[in-house]
Amino acid sequence: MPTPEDPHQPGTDDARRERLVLFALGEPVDESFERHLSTCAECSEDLDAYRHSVALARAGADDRSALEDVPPPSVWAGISRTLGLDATLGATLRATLDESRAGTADAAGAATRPTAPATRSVPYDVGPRSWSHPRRPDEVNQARYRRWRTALVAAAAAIVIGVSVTAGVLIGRDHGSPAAAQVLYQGQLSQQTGGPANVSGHATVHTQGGGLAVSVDSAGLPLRQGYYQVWLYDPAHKHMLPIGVLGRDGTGTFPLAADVDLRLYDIVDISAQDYDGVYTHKTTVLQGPLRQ
Amino acid sequence: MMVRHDATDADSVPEREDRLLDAAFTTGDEWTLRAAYARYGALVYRVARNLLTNPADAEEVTQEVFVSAWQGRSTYDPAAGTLGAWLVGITRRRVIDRFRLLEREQRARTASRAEPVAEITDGDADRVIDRIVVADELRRLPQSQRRLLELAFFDDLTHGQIAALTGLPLGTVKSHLRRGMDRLRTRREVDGANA
Repeated sequence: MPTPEDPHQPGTDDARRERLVLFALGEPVDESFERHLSTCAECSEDLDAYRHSVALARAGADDRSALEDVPPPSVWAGISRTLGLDATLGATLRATLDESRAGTADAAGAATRPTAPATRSVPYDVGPRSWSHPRRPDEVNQARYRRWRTALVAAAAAIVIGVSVTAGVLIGRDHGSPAAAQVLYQGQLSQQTGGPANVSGHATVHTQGGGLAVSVDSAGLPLRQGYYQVWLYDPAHKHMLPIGVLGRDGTGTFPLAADVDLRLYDIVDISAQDYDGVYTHKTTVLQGPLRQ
Repeated sequence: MMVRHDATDADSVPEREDRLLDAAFTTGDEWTLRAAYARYGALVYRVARNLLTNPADAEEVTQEVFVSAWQGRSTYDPAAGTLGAWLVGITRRRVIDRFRLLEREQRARTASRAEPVAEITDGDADRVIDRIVVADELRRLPQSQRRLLELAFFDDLTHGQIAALTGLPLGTVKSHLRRGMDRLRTRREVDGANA
């Protein structure tokens, strides 16, 4: 019968490792365990490994490059250009996923439906956000991760059932964007609490004359004394970038400066403004996230 | 070294997706490059950014890594290691190449050896890579584990203090810390510099 002090008794490996983890984090251990450590190769190897991780994690806090650092969009653009990739691919994946979600490709849906809990398997609906509750950087990362996972799941569908989706399929599907332009991101804009009801909109980020532009169309925005300002929003840093004023027909196309990082500014927002000399953001009437 | 997998953690959704991407990368479908970039682009960039002084160099290295990984994808063997480890290995070589190039350029410019350039040793590169792999994994841990580990790492709280602060039972705190640490360790051993 093993004594209670024996860290290797059956069924206690988790408990043994918990003690090692606490020791590695700098907490004291009792004398008998410390004696054991000096003679047990397995425990001291585990302890070294945990201590190594702790030291790396603590040292990482001072790194020059912060955790939130991401390469600027020009890096992907360069990879894509060098390799001659199909720039519409992201949208192709989206089309595939929409198809499988709509039930027109049941096999794909079944093959890719993750077996994990439902809360982790719905990558698509980030949901509307309000200004009063900006997302934490953490949530932004998760949203980005979900977005990527969407692409992966959709792509897996294509591989598993051998679906071959051509760019042609997607261009046909890609309503609301200029014919010759390549769409990089798009998103539905939805009505917001505090704004007018029965409004809707759609935004695309597309190529235009060697650069990028945002095209917005909307429906149902009431005529009013004032104007509607279009913004890009970076929820991680709570920065807002005004990109133009919506036309009287509720649409507009706004060129983007070359260095706007759309991985950060990934939300389109339309606000109702007044002709009062105040240029800060007032009341959101439409808003939605951009997706590939 | 034997890598211990905790059954519940190793089978997590992100882990399965990583393995799915490993297996798909060699098929040549462009989406796999996109997915690989979305998953590992920031990791590669952060390694380069922490080893090279100039951000533009880090950006160019990141680009080179993915271009050469894609062109050489037939040489990647998922059975031999994860895609993450493979990309980190390429990054390591590219950073050191870039560093030597910069060093030669500087020497040519100054035309003297009066001003020695700080050198990146293999050990430096490995430490930075391991740090960034661990930081990356910490970020990917389930929120419950991540938060507790951050309190232990960066706020130096004991598990008792963490329990008091979060209202979680002591046993839960210990088991979250252990699971999180096991993930960090596995990931470092699988994807880190010595993979």
